[in-house]
Amino acid sequence: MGLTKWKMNGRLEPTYALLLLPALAIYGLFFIYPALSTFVYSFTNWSDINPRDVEFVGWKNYKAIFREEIYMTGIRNTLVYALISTLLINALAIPLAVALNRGFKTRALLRSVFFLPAVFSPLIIGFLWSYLYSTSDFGLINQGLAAIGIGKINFLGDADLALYAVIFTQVWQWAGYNMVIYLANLQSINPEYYEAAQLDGAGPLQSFRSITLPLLAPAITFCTVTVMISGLKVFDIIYSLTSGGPGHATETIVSLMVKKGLGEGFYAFGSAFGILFVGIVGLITYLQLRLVRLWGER
Amino acid sequence: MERLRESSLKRRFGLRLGEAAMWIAAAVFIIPVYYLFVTTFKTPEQALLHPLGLPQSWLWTNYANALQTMQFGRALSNNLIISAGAVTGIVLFASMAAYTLARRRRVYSRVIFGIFLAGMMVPYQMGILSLFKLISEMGLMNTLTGVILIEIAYGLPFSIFLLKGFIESTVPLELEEAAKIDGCSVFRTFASITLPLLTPVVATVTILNVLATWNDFITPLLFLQSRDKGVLLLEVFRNIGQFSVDWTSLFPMLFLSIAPLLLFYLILQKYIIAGMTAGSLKG
Amino acid sequence: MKKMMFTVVSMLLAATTVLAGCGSNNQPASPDTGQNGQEAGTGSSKEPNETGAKTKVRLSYWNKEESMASLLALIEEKLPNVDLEYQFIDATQYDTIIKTQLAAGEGPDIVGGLIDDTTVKLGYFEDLTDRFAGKYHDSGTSYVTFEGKLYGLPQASWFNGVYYNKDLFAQYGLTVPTTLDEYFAVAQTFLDNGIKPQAIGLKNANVAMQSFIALALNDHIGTAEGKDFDEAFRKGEATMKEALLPALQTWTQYLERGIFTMDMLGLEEEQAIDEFTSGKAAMFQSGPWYMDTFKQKNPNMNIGMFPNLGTKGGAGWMVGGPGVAFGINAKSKVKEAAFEVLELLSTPEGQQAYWEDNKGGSSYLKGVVFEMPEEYADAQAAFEQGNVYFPPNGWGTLRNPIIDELGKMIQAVVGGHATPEQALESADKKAESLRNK
Repeated sequence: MGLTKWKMNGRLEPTYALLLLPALAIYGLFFIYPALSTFVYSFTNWSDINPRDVEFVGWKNYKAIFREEIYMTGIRNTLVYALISTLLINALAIPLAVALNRGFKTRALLRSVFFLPAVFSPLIIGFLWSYLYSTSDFGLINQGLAAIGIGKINFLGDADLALYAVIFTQVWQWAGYNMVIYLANLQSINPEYYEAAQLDGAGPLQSFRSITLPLLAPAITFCTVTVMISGLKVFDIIYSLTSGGPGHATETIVSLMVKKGLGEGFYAFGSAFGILFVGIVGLITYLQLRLVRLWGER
Repeated sequence: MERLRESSLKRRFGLRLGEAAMWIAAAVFIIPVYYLFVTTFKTPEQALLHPLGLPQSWLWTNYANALQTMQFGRALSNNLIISAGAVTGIVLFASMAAYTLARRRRVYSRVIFGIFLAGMMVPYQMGILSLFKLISEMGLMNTLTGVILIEIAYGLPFSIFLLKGFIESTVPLELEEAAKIDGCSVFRTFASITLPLLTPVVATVTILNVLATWNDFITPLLFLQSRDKGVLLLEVFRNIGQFSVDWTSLFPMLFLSIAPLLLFYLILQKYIIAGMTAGSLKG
Repeated sequence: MKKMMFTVVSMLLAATTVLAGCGSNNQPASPDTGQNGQEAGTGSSKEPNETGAKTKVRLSYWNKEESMASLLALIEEKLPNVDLEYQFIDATQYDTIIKTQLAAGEGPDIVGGLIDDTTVKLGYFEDLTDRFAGKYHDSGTSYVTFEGKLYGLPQASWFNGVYYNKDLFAQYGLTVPTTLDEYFAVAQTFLDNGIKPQAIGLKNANVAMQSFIALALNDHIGTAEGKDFDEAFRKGEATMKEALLPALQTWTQYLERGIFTMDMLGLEEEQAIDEFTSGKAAMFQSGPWYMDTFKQKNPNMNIGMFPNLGTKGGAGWMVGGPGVAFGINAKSKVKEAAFEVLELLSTPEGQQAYWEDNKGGSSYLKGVVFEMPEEYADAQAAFEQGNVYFPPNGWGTLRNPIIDELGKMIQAVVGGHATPEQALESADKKAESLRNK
């Protein structure tokens, strides 16, 4: 039996491989190939003034990254951005999901409302919020603050505040999206657990802690990892909201990579920065998965 | 008895209160979108005086102008072609690949899956120069086909991740084996048994990729140079240069560029959320 | 629900086939003819040429289409064989995008800007000497001429100075300032009366840089002592810190006196314009390209312009220079048509059409003189002395990265996150790394 099965599978193997082919071809050609050639270029002296006679220069580009302060600023901003947005988005999405999992009559509509911002392009979000945040008399938020007697807040112009102002727009945009994923997880939890807990005299907070949170582990893993990865890769919203300013206060890894690696023509240097960055993302994702797993086992 | 009824009353009251609180939160949440919408109908003076009030008279000229400046119809049709082409490709190719990756637990399938996963960590800006050369050499520069292929490549990793998880956890192997014993080919089994069972996750993948391709702005910006190939977001971008004049004429453009997506969302919202629910967690 | 989802997917599938079908109909073998050729045949009654198809020529530039409208209309009228397609790309992304395209042997047929020693050496641009040498004044062509060969055609000059609201000046009995000290006195009067002296959209790094460079021009670069700064800086023989620190320290007086505030770092240029046209602010530094916007937002406003001022006296300076230079992509497949466009541009008619939407500058084409609109009367002395210059034009390939870095660092100075020394040091450091690329 075992043998026939093996034979059968062996005969079928090419057909299975055929199913993989289109995806692999397109992905290989338009994604893997550019990524690999970026890797190769990262060890060369390729630049806009030297596009043809490219030579290998070893680790030079990688070493150069650590010599410039601004790249350290970019890395720090990116980490702050990714960490805080991951925490806030999930800290908002979970309670929202729990609330909207209750028997509200209008809960379907409410879910749609909270999900809505996820539909918009970061470009649109950026332009919209730069008006909302404006310190001019036209800025809606500052108009509102003035109406309740608080002075103007310079959201995007204050270097100490700008990054957090950007994060806030992303929390607003993605909380509802992640809420939906948590909802999916919540619906898979057997309601009997809660009934049992209630009979044992557990309050809502207690049953949230001892039932909901542990059973949400799959969604927590999924959401924190995906939000973290996209946070580390953040570019579009920075581009449309602050262009990295004021000063270099909101410059991120990818925004610097685009500026120096493309705009200023340091192609090879930009490649090295990109490769290093992928390494950082990989490492953080790995650590994060380990962390979540540890938490799940506890 | 009495106490039970009292507590159920209390509970219902609590529920109402909670619902009201959620609506207040939702109202605050939605203000930016509402503001964008009402401002499109106002004159600058109105917008300044009553930023959140309903427009005194609904000003349609803002829209008429925006539709014309944006060459709305043409840009929209390009958007539709790109999104439809890319999403169809992604759904089809990703589910085919995910099927093999889920059902073949051999070294090669694990390695290939790993390569796809690794792709999720790579920012697309990284390989853009090589990609640019490639597209140019293939003669795909300034063609919608080129953009569609790139969007498919970007969309595959996450979609395969979702689909593979769903197949492994939800699609029963027994059905497939029965089909195989009946002499169905692999492709036949996949197409007639597995694919129909993937509907919920296919919905998710479709939705997420429609959003992603529609909202992608860098790829069209780099790879489509002719205006007649451009998409809505490029038209918005075009009109917000250093000479950007009047924000009340800018907002209609912002709104028009998202309106089709908004419509897509409003019509399908129930399925979008249900689809997300079904698809996203099985991974 | 399942059924519904399936319907959606199959609808999408159906839609794709329909759309893909029509998409491929629109793409006949040659992308240069096709759709537009057909349009030309049916839509326009003007003399269809022999083939019935127009040659499509693409032109990219970082100003919005409106600022080119008259020129585009003229081309349509005078060159029936040419279908000129204008591609606007925002200035912040322009270099990146076009350079990427040129490096891949792609790109627009006519390129605005980017003509410097590097791009010319790389062979991106067509030599225009044979057909255009001698048509333009040297003062305009010098920055696009390399080893005696001409690679671009400079368009009408641009400049910025300080626009002021004449009514507000009259209301408080103020006269137009001629020195920086007088400017500060005027500003104080406005501050005392609750009016913002000068609106500025410092959120945009380029705007921040323009304000400083205007003062640097007056106090160093435009003086006898500083006239070699640009070349020396380009070659790495001079640093900004040594040459421009006094100017930047003087510039910080705008902050100390409360004329520019941190709030303005949160302001876009468009929002600053609103403050100026609504009378909330009395002055605004910019150039003629905003004149239409001012008039549109406040038709009754009386506007004048005086030059940017400094502490060294003199007539003041306008920040500006030759406008964008248009060159031809050496890889263009429709060079002849591109030449035709540039030839039309190099006629008085062509210059007039370009100027129409960029009023205020002067043409570099020999024999063409435009009359300056009356709004610029107060700046006449500066113009007469030839005090129009944009220092970054002398910085070669350092130009755009340093404009950005300098602007960003001035934002940091405004925000109190960098000292003037640090700001200029940072720009020097960036210049150094660019020189060693």
